[in-house]
Amino acid sequence: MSNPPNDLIPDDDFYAAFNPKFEALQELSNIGVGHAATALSQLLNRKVDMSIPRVNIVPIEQASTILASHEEEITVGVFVRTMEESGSQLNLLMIMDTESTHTLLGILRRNEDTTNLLDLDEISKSILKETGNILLLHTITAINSFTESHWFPNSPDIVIDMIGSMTDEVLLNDHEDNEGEIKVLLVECDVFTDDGKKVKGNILLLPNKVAMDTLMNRLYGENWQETM
Amino acid sequence: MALYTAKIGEIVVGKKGDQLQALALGSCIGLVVYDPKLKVAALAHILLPEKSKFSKPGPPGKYGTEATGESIKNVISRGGLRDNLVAKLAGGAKMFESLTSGTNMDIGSRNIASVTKSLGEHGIKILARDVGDNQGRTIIFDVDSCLLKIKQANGTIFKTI
Repeated sequence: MSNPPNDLIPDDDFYAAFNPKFEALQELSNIGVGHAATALSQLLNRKVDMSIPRVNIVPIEQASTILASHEEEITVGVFVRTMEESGSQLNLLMIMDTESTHTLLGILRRNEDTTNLLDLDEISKSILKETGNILLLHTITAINSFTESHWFPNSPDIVIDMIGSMTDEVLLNDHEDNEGEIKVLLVECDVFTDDGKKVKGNILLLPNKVAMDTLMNRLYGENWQETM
Repeated sequence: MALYTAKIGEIVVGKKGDQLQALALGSCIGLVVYDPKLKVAALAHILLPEKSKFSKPGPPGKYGTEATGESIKNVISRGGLRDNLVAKLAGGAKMFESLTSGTNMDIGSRNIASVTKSLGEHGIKILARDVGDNQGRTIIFDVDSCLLKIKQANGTIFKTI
């Protein structure tokens, strides 16, 4: 996917108000996705290159059309919910399009027709779910060690459906109490295997308000708001 | 003759010959309030059950508590009669099981409850609904026939209500 058009990128005021949080999340994403790519390389037993993750904060209404060409595009979504103490929640969602899914299954499971995502058999779905789980757990492990946190993951969920139908539910859950407009963090990363095939993974990091405060406190100290 | 699409939080209005649609509803609700006799309809794409204390005013169809009232206003302003109004709705799915392993009810169910309650308060009868479950839906409302077509991810219309 190309970069979103300019009108989708939050305006300067938004960055000005949000900057430290944005930077923190960007750094977390870089670390997390880097670990995920390493895990994928081991899983596929191939050399894997990754692009620098592109990080965007977008209004929830536009999330699905930034991730895919249109709301009704069929994608694979793997979701992991992680929790820490006292209502602090960090959710992760990985989205893969048809082409990437096809590439991944072609490597891990040969001779399988994967042209239609809706017709995948249980074994293929299970492979996708576990691959997603591995990538997301590596992401969360990296975030845990970087921020000295203890986000504890639940078991993963896989959904294969229209992108628009999965984003709103995941993005909204426990984010209703965020002030004002609901914005989410999108991390986009292209991964290339050594035979030139491309796997594009979009990982969404979704800290709720409590989690965001916790992260900021751990990264910048308890009084971060006064010092910035 | 036109096809109008309600994006998240929007309400679109159509008259005889028009079609109204909302794409890829997950936990969102597509609510159609319409006058079957004069053929005027409004479709709202509802995102959340109600405003939280922090919420800024959103677009008219964003919250279940407000969308019904706004839809009624829209239909009447385009020539519908208050006494004729009825409703159909679809959506409110629960796509990810593990999201609601905690105490909170899932957003889809809360959306359904909020919209149903709000329709009751306005005295509008629900003629048909296709809600819940764990699949995405694209809905298309034909103002002429007052039928609501519901499409699955694979593009087939699996239900007409």
